[in-house]
Parts: sequence; structure tokens; C-alpha cells
Amino acid sequence: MTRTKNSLARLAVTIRAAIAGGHARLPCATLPRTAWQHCDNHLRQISRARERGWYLAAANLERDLRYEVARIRAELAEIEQQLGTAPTTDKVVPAAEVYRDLVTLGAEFEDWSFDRCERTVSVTTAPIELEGIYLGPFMIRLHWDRVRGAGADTYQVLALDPRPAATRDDITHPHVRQEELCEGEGRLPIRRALAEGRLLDFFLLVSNLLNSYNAESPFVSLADWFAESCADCGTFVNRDDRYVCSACESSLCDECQLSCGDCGDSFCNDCLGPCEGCHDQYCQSCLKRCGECRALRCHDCLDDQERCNCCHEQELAEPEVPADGLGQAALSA
Amino acid sequence: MRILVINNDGGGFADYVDVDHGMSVDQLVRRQIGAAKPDHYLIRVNRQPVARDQQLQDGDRISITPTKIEGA
Repeated sequence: MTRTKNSLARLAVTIRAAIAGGHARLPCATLPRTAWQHCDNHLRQISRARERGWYLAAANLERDLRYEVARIRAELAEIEQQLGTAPTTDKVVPAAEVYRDLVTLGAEFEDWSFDRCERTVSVTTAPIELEGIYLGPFMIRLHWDRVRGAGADTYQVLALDPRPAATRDDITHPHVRQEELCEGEGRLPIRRALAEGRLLDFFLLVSNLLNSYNAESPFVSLADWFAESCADCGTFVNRDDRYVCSACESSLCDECQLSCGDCGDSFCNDCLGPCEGCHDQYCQSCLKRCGECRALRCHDCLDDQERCNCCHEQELAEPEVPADGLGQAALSA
Repeated sequence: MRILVINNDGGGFADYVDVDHGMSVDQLVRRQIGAAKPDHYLIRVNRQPVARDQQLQDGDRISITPTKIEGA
């Protein structure tokens, strides 16, 4: 055997031992406590966001809550199935099979590696493109010492050339959020492959899932991948259809974009202000302060001397003082 | 003859099955996947890609993995 084959053989023995353990194995069943805690946190945050009128934040949190609820449902269904069927997780393949899987990884994937210190085996997929949208290659990193725990942290999916959704930089793939894959219908075969030590099957299943798109329930749909959130109402707006506030450069939908009554440029609600005379909306550049009372006025509501109508009329109403009026007034006093 | 069948579709299935001598890869796959299209699956015999008409041998390991798996 060459040195490489020796190291792979030892690795296979190590991985197999970690997955199988040294004693009779119980079914890998863990209650979805983490997902439950997340739901609890999201509900509290949603309530707080609604009280403060942060509807965009509330909508985002509700999306996250829906995901966590689906995750709880899936994990409970798996526990129910394990209780109802004869345990198959005791069927861990021999170390020789793990070795053969490791040898084959190089043929199936662009690259693969292992790290004894971190207890990980990783493969790199080819670049993934879904419906014409390039997402880049992904690394699937398996922590072999966590397989028995069957938790969500057993493996990670890392974007090597991240092209995340425009509105969520933690979503690098329609079904990957914060390096965690939402397995959907792949959950049972993935978990079974891991429990039985079939590493090649595990990596192929995850890779095939990454190369598939379920338009019914992504974190962010591919149709909205490049869409941005309207700064005022939160709805998604495609890059080609959006308006940009000329002051703060935030993205706006057609409904929320406002035009300055003077220059006609597009602005968001926060970057327009009212003329205190006519009450129409203007940008900061098109509003000036009255030279007398300092009130904000549009161009039409200021005279040539930059006085507002009120100050102008007030001056007109004041009686004229004659040329020698001051002297007569002094004598009278 | 006895072969190991690993069907990664649905809930996953990995067990030894008895098949007739001379059974081809294609025949076994169709038996496993029912009405589904064989083109929608990645087929490996002893971890190698094979022709669909290849005849199975005693002790072969065949894995059937769907190429399209819907995440959530």
C-alpha cells in the first residue's frame, strides 16, 4: 500500500469508529430544541417589530419563523418514523466500505480533502447554476464526530464564490441559509446515509440537492434573487423596475417613489419635506428658508428677496414712515 | 445471486436482495424506481458509472440516487 492509501485506510477506520461508536447504538433521535428556541425568539421579535411599526422587519422574521416551523415538523416526523420502524441505524458499513467511498470522492467531485484535527471531510462541487443564475461552487464539509448526534451542525454548505441574494447576504443558495442546507425531501435519505456511514451517498445526495431548485419553498426565490427591498414598504422590486432616491440612493418601488415638486427627481419619503406655504413636497435642494422668518419655502412661495408670502404681506401692511417722521416723533415725545 | 441495493430515493433503502442471474442494471433500476424515469437517477455499480445494459454480478453494490431532490 502507498502512503496515501495507508492514510485513507486509517481515516476510514477512524470515521467508521466515530459513526458506529463502541457500543450498541440507540436510534439517532434528538428533539428539535434549537428550532423551538428559534421559534420562540422569532415570535417575540415579531411582536416587538409590529408594536414599533417595523413591518419590513416583521415580514422578514415571519419568513424565518415559517422555516423554523417546517424544520420542527420535519424533525418530529423523522423521530416518529424511527419509533415506528425497525432501527436501521445499526447497519454501519465496515471500514473497508468507508475507505472505498473516500477513494471514489476524487472521481465524483472537483476536489476533496480531510482534516484530522478538525475531524472533517470536505468535497467541492462544480460551479452551480440554477435557472441561469450563477451561484458558484460549494464546499460540503462533514464533521464525522457529529454524525451520531444527528444535529443540524453535522455538516455545512459553504459558498466558495458567494453570489448571495441581494436582500440577504446569508442566503447563498435558494435552499442554503447561514451555511445550513434545508434538506426538504432529501432529509431522510441524507440522515440514513450518514447514520450508516455511506459517505459517498451522503455527498452525492447533498450535491444533487444543491443542483435542484424547489420554487415552492426557497429562502429567497430565484425570481427575486437580484431584487431589492423597497426602503419604504419592503416589497421586492427587480433591479430593472426599481427607482433610486436621488438623495440617499435607497431602492424604491413604483408605488413609493415620490417626485420633487420642483426638480421632478425621484426621492423616498424621508428625503422630501413640505413647503410650509403650499404644503407640496420638495427635496432639500429645492427648499429655501425665508430670509425673515426662516420658514422652509419652495421657489414659488418666496419673492425676489427670498421672503415668504407671509413676511412679504406683513411688510406691505406696515405703515410707511415719512422722511421727517422721526424728527416730529422725537419732538412729540 | 445476491446484490446490495442502495436506493437513496424517498426514505432511503439499503439492503441485500436476491435477483436472477443475468439481470441487467436497467432491469433492476426499473424494478426499484417503478414509474419514475431512469434518467432522473444517478446509477453506480461498485461506485463506478456503468452502461445500463450491463449484467449484474453476484456481490455487486448498486446505488440509485435521484439527481433532482427538492430542498425546502
